[in-house]
Amino acid sequence: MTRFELTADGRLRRRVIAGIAGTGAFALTPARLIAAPVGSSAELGFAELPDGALAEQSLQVLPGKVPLIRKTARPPNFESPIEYFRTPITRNDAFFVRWHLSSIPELNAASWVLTVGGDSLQREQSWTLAQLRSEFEPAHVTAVCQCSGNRRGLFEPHVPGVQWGVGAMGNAAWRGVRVKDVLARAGLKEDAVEVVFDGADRGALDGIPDFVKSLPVETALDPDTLIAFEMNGEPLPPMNGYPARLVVPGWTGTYWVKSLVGIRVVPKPESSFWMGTAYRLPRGKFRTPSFKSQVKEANEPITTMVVNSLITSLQAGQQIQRGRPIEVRGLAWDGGSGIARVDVSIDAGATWRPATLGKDLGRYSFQEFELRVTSVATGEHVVTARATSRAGETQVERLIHNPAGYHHNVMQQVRVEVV
Amino acid sequence: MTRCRSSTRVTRVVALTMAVVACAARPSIAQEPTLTPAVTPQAAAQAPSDELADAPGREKVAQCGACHSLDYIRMNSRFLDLAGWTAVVNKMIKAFGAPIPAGDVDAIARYLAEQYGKPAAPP
Repeated sequence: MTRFELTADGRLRRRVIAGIAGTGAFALTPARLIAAPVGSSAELGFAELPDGALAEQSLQVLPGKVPLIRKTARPPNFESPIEYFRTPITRNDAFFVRWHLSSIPELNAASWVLTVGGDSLQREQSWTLAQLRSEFEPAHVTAVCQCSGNRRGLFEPHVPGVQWGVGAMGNAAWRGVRVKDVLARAGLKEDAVEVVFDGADRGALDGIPDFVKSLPVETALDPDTLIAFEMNGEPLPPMNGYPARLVVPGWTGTYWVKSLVGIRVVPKPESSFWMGTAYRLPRGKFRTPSFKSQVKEANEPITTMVVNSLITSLQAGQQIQRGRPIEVRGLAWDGGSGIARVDVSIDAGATWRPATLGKDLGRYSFQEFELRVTSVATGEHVVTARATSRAGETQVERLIHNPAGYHHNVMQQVRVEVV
Repeated sequence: MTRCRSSTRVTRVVALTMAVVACAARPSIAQEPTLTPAVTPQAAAQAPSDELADAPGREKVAQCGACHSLDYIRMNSRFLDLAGWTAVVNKMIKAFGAPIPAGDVDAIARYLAEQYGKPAAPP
């Protein structure tokens, strides 16, 4: 039976390290006692989620999904539990769910139409799914889709927003057609600056800004930028953008517009809320590429993902029998250069040793890593992984704080005990 | 209410408020997904609830439920102070077009800060 303990600051923890006794100062209802400890980030060796977020979330089932960690019900925001990151490809039915607006489209593939237009195209044109499949060369890419705010809940001090733990991400083999092929058919003009993508989701009220995202024209024309209909060999799940979504390898999930219904190519920056105001970073804090047509004096849009890793084989407080190795396994990824190396430390970063990398599934994919550390002395050990990209970027020791809670790639510190 | 997108799990007070404020909504293009608790002890013990703490101002805060479930509020607790919650409410009005009367902002922010805000620092 699972044990629960109350920590000194009122948090409920499962399998708390022996020795930290509850203070008993908080009166919690039995329901909360049972329900709280799902998706704790402290259990993984990170700063903990806000106490309200930890108490609120629970495992729930959306249509076509295994139980996922519900952050919010309407619009649905659900993250994948840690156990689904023990393989480099994330199952469709365990893939995280993130919607901004509460009216989720229920589209029919037979009647779905993609309309392509805008001032920087020679003609407006529409395609059905069957036409896209038959008229264009198929393309595929294995790529990580990670919410810009993945790990926002681990920020200290906390910032408002969906308090994601580590599971607002997934890696899949995407299949569809290239955006560049479709735009070429509609006649791309030379004055094109941005390509604007519109999903079918809508707000509950008319005044709520429609979810529209744009890309620099060169990113939209990248041969790996896809209009995808398939995910891991199956149609996209409704909760992940059926029947077609944008796939922008390397870029954060906000650009991967789900239930795509419209594309416009335009000669000027898209200024609506989701581009002009939301999903922005203070300038100069990160070394990710700039979305040049969208740069403002103080801020600029988030673009590609920062290098990151996740240890999936260990839990904080875990006891390991003396004589047995500490098995460190996990995933690493970045914004598209690929993972060059992952180093592992069991002494909180004092010394490092290289992990073995698993099969290379491409530069946009999760990269598995593994290291068995043998002959470990009795006592507490702080296990850390540090991924380095082929672009030479590494994870940070201290959080680069920013108001919207993006780009958390602080190294994990998992305390385990050899007994 | 047929044109409104309503949650199956909103409280009566939220449903009532939605009837007032949310019927300007566009025609629905889909129902929101039905949530089924997972068959786990955790979920079985806690069906998610859209209840908010019973305190003065709760009926005004129920307006928030027209556009999103109220778990957004509990999820974002307890780390915002009164200024932080006021900024959130103003963002909902200015950026997201929430039809909340200007006169309700203070009462909503105060309720959120008191019930879901950063605990006061020890003296």
